[in-house]
Amino acid sequence: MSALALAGVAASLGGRPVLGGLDLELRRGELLGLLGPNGAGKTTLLRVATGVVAVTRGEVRVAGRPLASYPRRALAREIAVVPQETSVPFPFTVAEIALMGRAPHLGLLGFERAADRRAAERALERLGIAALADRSVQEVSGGERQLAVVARALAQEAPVLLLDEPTAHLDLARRVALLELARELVAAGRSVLVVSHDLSLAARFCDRVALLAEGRVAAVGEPGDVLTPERLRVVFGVESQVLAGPGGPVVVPTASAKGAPEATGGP
Amino acid sequence: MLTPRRLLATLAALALLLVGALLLSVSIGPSGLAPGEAWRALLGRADGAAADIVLRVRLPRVVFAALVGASLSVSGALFQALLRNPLADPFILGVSGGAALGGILALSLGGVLGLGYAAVPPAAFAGAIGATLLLFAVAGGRGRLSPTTLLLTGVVFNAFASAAIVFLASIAGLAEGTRIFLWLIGNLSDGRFEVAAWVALFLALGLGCAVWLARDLDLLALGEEPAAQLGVEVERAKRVLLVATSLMVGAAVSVAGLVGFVGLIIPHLLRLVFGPGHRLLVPAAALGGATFLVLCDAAARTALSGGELPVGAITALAGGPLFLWLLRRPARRLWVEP
Repeated sequence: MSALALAGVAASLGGRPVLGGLDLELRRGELLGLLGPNGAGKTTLLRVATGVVAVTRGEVRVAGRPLASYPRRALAREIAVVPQETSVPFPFTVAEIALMGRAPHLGLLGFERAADRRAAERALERLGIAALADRSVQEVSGGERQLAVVARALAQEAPVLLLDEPTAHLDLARRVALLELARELVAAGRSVLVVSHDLSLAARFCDRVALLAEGRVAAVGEPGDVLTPERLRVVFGVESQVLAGPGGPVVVPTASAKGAPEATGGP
Repeated sequence: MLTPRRLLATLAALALLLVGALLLSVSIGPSGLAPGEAWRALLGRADGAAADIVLRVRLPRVVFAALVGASLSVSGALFQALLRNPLADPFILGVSGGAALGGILALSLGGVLGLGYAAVPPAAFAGAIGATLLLFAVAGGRGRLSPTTLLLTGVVFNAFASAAIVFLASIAGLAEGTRIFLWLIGNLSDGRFEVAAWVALFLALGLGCAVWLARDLDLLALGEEPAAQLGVEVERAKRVLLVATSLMVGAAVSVAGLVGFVGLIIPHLLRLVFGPGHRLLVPAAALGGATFLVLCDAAARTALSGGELPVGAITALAGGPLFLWLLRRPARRLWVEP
């Protein structure tokens, strides 16, 4: 059964259609890469999947149930999200940010218990930022802040994890470590969707990748089948070579394609 | 991590501070009553003039000061979380100005329409709501404003409200110019138990909502979408909290006028000491704001021999420099751009 399923989903932002009748399935226990140019609708897809942007057509199902049937808190126990950017106007500590992931699990009085604290600590340790626990998120680096937000999503302990360009602020070692972590979660039965602009890294770690273009799925399947020079030319507007790498295809862009698509601008 | 025990211990300590401030404030005043005499009166062991002064004049006044201070301070903390901006404060944002304008409208038209003084609090509440809605309309659908826009909106709205108040008061023949002046600068001379009871009612309502939604406030500080993705019913929480702040600001302003900066100073100091978590910050802001305004009022009553300063002058003297200092801090502390 699918952890998350979008069927014929259309959505608009400010009257502008962003997703146009899109079908996509995140299977239980898989790591799915979501690839595509800027403005293709990747972030909107994640927002639709968590109900913060309404669908104009089609249906989203979470663990087989319609999204609309979930109260907010119940949904937050099913799906955890790491957004592209997080700004924090108050000096919360890294540990406090991680602990916020427990919010959908708290009881009436709203106090965390020892088990909640342990979940947050485990998440910080797993991401290698336990030493930063008491530092203000306003005083750590951008990458470390991003990891604190990933820790928050891990502490949420939801079966589905959606990561929106989680590697954007991270160095090479931490990018690889984060995708290894995603693989571990998947091996433990969770389902992870990761938005990425690093096609080769996605190809190396994902079970399947979906290529999004102009609000539709242009192709979905195993990385080796999806990532072909022809598709990359059409979808990204680049000429490229796809080489056989050690763990999957490696995409080497070589030039802009002639008649490259216009930038659509905005997420 | 915040545990119920740590929460209660901290609040108990702050409550002790408040009790100390109340006792101090009751024991001093222009009448030259000895502090020991005042405390005996408080315990019901004095009679005559001392009992009258303490129980009928000073006690209602300090309780009133505490309630107004708590209302303004909690409102400040709520605005800061909702607007995701540590510089927000009902006075700076013009919400107090809106409440004052509503109140003065009711007073000026009161004679014409046959409304009594009872129409002032609801009108002040309506004014506060109006100013808040205006603020969020300027902020746009996503509820996020740059600090500059936010502050400018407040400045402009305050200037407009003050001008309108003076204008209305003049044409309505509310000739007591001093009274209007005192109200514009904020004062606690209307400290009676009946008035304090009004403020207490709205404070209880507003504080109750804020404590109930305190964890949601933490998550809302991350932004509305992340909050929703962590299980917060964002629209409902915002509506409840905006009504709560408007109730508290409306009540406080309708009786004490434009006492400024309490909502900026107290939450800010408390955040420095206890961290930004709202489950502690919100009730602590109530106790801290109460303590602060009681002490400011004590200073206002005793600073001049033979007269009193409006308390708003004291809070502005303390708040103005702090505000400038906050503005000058590195921008990333005030506002972390994505």
